[in-house]
Amino acid sequence: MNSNNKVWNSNKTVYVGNIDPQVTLDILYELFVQVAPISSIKYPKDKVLQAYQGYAFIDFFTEDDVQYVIKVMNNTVRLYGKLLKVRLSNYALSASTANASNK
Amino acid sequence: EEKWNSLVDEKKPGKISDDLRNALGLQEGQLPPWCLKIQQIGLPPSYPNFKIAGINWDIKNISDNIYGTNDILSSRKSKTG
Repeated sequence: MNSNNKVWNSNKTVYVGNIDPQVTLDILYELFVQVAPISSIKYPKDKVLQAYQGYAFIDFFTEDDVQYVIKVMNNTVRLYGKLLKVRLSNYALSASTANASNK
Repeated sequence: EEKWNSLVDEKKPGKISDDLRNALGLQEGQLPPWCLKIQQIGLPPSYPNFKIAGINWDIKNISDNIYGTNDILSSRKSKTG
């Protein structure tokens, strides 16, 4: 089964930014499952450097959960001293971070 | 896939591992930072039976790796028993 072509722009997905590179997928899962059940996590690594890129997309089961997670977790938690930013995922924005000039 | 299943089995609301505690820089006896927000806006919609030390659970229940419980089985038990 291949679920890689999943679209990460539903309103059941949050974007998490400002993640310290020491943070593992396990830590992200454990942190966010404290406030809502998690469907899946996308936590990309740079293919060449094998280092996390500082952001993740976390998929939840309901829109209520997502609204709650954002309210509770945005600007709330520091991991290794870095304050996590949590907001509704915006696929268009995240896909074009490399050329973020066109608004 | 296997790794994901073991995460789902192991990591539960109310429990924090040494790894997460270390990343948070959480001191002994200190509630995690999201608890204050939960106190302000209410319990998670998916965890209506969540008990959190110092909010709706005796603060004495707090230990190194436990600050709350969302044990659905035990809350069901207590309802029927």
